[in-house]
Amino acid sequence: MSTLRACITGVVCGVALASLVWARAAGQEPSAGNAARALVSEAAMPAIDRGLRDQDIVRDPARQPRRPERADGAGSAQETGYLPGSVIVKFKAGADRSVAVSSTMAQVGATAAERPAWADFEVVTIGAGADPEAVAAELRGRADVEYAQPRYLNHTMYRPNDPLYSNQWNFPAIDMERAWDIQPGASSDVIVAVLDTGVAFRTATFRYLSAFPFRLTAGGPVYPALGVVDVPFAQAPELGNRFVAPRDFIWNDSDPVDLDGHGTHVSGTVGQLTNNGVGVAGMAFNVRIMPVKVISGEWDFIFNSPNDGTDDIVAQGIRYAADNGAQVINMSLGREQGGPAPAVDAAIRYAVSRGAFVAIASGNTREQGNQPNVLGNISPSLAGAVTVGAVGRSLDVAYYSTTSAAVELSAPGGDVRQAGGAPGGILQQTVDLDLVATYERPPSQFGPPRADSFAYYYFQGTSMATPHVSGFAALLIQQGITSPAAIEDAMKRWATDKGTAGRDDQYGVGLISPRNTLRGLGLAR
Amino acid sequence: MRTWILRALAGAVLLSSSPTGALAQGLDIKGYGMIGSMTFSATNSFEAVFGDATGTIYGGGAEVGLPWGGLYVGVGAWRFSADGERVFVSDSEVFPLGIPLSVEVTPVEITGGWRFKNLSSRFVPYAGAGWSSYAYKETSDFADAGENVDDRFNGWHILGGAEFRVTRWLGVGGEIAFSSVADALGAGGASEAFDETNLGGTSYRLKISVGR
Repeated sequence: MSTLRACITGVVCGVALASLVWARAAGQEPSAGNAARALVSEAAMPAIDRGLRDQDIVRDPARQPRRPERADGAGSAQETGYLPGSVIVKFKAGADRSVAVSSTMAQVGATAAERPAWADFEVVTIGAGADPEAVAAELRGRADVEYAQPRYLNHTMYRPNDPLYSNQWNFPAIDMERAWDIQPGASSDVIVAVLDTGVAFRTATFRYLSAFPFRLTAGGPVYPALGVVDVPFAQAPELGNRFVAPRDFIWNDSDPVDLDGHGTHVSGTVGQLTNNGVGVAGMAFNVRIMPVKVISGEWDFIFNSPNDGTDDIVAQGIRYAADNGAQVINMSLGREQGGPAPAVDAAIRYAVSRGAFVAIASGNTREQGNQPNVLGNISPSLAGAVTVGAVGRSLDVAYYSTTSAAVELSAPGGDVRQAGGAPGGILQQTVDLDLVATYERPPSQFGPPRADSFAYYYFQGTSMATPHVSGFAALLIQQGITSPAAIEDAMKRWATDKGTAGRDDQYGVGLISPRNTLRGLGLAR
Repeated sequence: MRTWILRALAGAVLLSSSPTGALAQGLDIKGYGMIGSMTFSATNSFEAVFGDATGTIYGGGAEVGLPWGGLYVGVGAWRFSADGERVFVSDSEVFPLGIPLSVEVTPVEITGGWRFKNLSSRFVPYAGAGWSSYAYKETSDFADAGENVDDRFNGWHILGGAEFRVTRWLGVGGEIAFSSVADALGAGGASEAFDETNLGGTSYRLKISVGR
């Protein structure tokens, strides 16, 4: 009997131990099924600063935003610009939500409807073969629906260039030295949310699963699955340790690390450490930065992140930032394809109503049809949100900067054509793209990324112009102009008129003038 | 300017106390010192920058009673100064910016008026009007050359008051004056935001005079 009891006890203990080991393993190792990542270690090697990378051709400056596709073609959004299989639906106030949801699902054959956190809309799952634009149009005809739209994909608004010189011409161009005399970099009381591809905000190692082969472009070479990979991350040396409330809506956690480089570069222009004898400067170098990841990059696709940078994700990011104390929201992102963005419009209105100033990139499509950034269309009618165009080193409108009725202000975004080459870009520190963008190599040399090495790169784009305005807004807040509408009013009051007299579609009201704006009004002058 | 005012006041006192000269010819001459308060017409602008549209003024001058009834002429100068901060005004909401700003207003007023001497031997009401020249100086931190203001504007004023003769040579009085200095403000700054163009205002003055 005692032998039987011992056997049973041994079996139970063994099963329990095995379960524990399995559970730990499951918690640490992402699988193809759960599309997750795991924190392997809080520790990692210190960040490596590889200095100025002014001889690298990082990426083709003319290429359009890219979304890889699985080699088997599953879930492709290459052609449509939106995710298949779901739509965003906002029901009117007063509608019985449960009734509306169930009848909506029945009407379009939906299989699920979920309201995400930091959202006032539902994401309704429809058949994989259904046309989201047609379904959204059908739902817009319902009396209880305020809006319905496909889950349009957003992307960053920049064009990297091939740098030749180390030169931050952009700050003297807008008289920042004298502006910093008045307002030296704001303070940690001001929070700027950077909605982007993430930010190099922490040091850690994450474990990902690269589970499927993929193509970067339709018909391009197939890159192999890498299996389980550990990716080291480090905090960007030039951003310092002043981050607040990080949030990743692409991975649904609080680790919005950057495997693209865009968000870290943008954050540098907002608030790169300044006067520290190292590297370069930022506009508002004492603010706290809230990294909010709402845009997915190539690696997020390769690692099968649960979300993409769709309108609903961007809207959630905006609401999250506003609810967590951001006074400025930088949106160097958007889309030119697809219809209106009511979910994002509503989120921007909400953020402004909560006291957050919002800066939005106008887009980089001037030579590709000049389609404006849909997410910026709201700004002319909303005091407290501005759409930003870019100028180059000669302070003329940049060749790529989308011109439209939505453009309200201009700021330096870089233009390699005006300066005769790379010095016309905007220089900031970001992750070392040699070690991150390994998918730029041939498939035979493709390997796991590492994001613990940094370098200074020239980028150009309205993505680079927008954080100048966001940093400027942070300085104004510190100086005492706290209302989003007043911030916009002040920026426009002193903007340097460019182009045709008065507002125009190229420059908006004009080029930002931080020094004069910060100095404000006397009694008679 | 303060020295100039003191010199003018001292000269007027000396002149009025002289046993010879004009006094002997039947002219009443006296000097006075004045302290009071001024409420500027550009109320919103001054409140935005200084927190208050009313401030202390002080000055002095001299008056000559002419030998034709109660007719008199006078010249005086006073000074207002205040420290505030630069602001931004958006939709009538004021945002102080914490950048120090100082303003000095120094008017010179030439007045002609009438003293109602026959009402009482010791209590003399009077009224007058005249030409004003306002020196306006505005300075603030972080200003480039040309960004501060140092200018002069002309206007007019009217006043009325009463003087009580304490002794033959000493009088005290109260006076209310209204001045208008059009188009001195409003071309820039907070005054432009509030569309306030006049540097004048209403002042209440306590005067102590020496002389007859």
